[in-house]
Amino acid sequence: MIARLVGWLDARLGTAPFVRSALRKAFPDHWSFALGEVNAYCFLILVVSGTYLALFFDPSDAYRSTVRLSFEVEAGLFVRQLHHWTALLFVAAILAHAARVFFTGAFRRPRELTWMLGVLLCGAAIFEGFAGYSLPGDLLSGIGLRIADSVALSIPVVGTWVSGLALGGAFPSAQMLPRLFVAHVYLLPAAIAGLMLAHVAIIWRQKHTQFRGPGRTEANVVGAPLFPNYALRSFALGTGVLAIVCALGAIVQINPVWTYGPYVPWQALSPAQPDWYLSWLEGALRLSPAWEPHIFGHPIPPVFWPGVVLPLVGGLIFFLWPFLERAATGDDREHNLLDRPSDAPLRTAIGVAALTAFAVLTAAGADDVLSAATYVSVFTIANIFRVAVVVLPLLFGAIAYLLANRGPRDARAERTRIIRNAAGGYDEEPVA
Amino acid sequence: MTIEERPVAAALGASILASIAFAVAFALHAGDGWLGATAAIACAGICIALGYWGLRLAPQTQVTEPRESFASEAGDDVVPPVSRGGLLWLLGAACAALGIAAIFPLRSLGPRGDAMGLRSRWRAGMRLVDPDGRPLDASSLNVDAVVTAFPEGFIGDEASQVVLVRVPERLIAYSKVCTHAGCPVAIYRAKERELVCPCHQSVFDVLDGGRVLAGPAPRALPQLPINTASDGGIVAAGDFDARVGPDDWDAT
Repeated sequence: MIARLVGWLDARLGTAPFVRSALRKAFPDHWSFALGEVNAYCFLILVVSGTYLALFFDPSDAYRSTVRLSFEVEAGLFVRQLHHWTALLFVAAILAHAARVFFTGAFRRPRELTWMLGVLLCGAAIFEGFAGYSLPGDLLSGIGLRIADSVALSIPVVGTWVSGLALGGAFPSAQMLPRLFVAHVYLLPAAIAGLMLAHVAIIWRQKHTQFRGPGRTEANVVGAPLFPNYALRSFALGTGVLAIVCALGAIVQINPVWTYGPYVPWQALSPAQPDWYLSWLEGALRLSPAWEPHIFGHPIPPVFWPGVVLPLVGGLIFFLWPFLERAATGDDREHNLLDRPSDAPLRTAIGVAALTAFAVLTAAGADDVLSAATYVSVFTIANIFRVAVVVLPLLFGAIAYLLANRGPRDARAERTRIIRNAAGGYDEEPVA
Repeated sequence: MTIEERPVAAALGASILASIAFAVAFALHAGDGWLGATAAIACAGICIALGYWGLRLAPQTQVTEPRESFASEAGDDVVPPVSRGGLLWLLGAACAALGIAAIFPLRSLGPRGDAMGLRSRWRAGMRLVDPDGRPLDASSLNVDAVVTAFPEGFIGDEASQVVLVRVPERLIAYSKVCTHAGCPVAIYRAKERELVCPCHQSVFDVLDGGRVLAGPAPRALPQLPINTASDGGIVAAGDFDARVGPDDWDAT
């Protein structure tokens, strides 16, 4: 039946040559190559479940409609929790995928564009997640929006304009959630879909990278054919992701807004944490000093550095990494064979240090939870984190550098094969 | 069906049963837990079937594709030369002008007139009321009582919210908007007589003008001067002694 459908299309569109080559496209085997696919499946699940939720949600009556769709709509709570869990998994899979690409050097020429599109996707996904969990109009997310508005206001010169244009008035404005809704269900998903399409199209055109191995060279790509082997495995992955988020949505409660209550400006929750992928910024806000310099009499509020400069500079380094590394190493050759982390000790060390800093700041975003659990003063914990955020990245980066330098380096090591000869002795021959 | 196909068939069969169970659970109003559990089993069945099929049943063939290099030798003459260069410049200018013109309607997104920023409503003589609108009474507040107050007629106003603390011999009122990131300063530590912001743990000294004792807040909490009226009510003696809320570029 599939063959007949393909034949029908071919008679009208001439698609047979493309389909034939596409079905034989080689997908190199490595579990880590599946991380990017998890993202695609997550996005698909988010679009479908989000569309269902949007049919019941009313941004001008956000809190009540969220509670109503959770309790009065059959399957509403299940879909809402599934949607939220998938969003958390989405960003986690993006980060894991980016780490795989980073530590294997897959971003090198000719794949700089793919990398940059991926970093933009990561940023868009984080904004999308923040917009999404801020929509219900509950106390926890309302305070998050209040902080975000303070961060926007802190931008020199244009801060008050940015905040005013975003909210249409002083916080909390009536247009705030309806506008966030437009961003969450239309602008950002469209951006993510477009970026993802371009990201995948370039991968298709350039073909996949692969690890070193017998028969694998810079000039070829060896792997399982798309049909049937890889397609079966990929759909298994997709349904597996769906099974996991279904189970989480059914069993593990997430964001129970009815326990927080609606947002009112004079109430707060403690302890209070954002979704995990924003905890590093929350941690940075908590650890940063109360430093407020003035320029020509205008204040630069303390939230500007951790809230604006840190993500912008960090994101820019992330975005431009392929070019920064090329400038440092002078290596402008094409690379289709992947590095192992031990092939580039300095890159590995920098990656480990960055991930450590991210982890420390993420933990610092929960310093009040840690304080409640350990009975140690939250101020002591914050001071420990202030030291850790400098010391641990350097320490772990140095350890990673030393380990990488000792590890296998099959890129440079001379490899030989030992063959027993007819006389019973052994011959050694070099392997390409 | 061969023996080796059986696991796949079993997983697909379980998936079909789970999908039917999902529909039944929905029809019987069994609740979200049942819906999710049956949906998870239905998906997991297909996942296991496809995984087994792909990894065990399908022949594990490997294909090798050559990689083409995209660097073209004839890269220079891809774009044919364009005549009428002067018009090209003008076209660019027209597009740029259109783009700039299109930015102007964005102004409509912002507030009308002068409505940006937090503006306190407090004036001398205004009565302090609680969030339900009941006038506050000085004699009803015991030592270390903490209440949220608003100016009468402006309940819920973000910029005017006040935290009123009863300390021995005195009533003290501060803006409840943290000067760091704008969260409500909602925690009172009675033993230390400190106000703590739950968001980023800035600490303010209640007995010393709301001075910052710890944390990332750059300024003291603005204090509201208050008096006790003849009927025991509490009234403002003026506006806050400083700008409310976190600073921005226009706060000079």
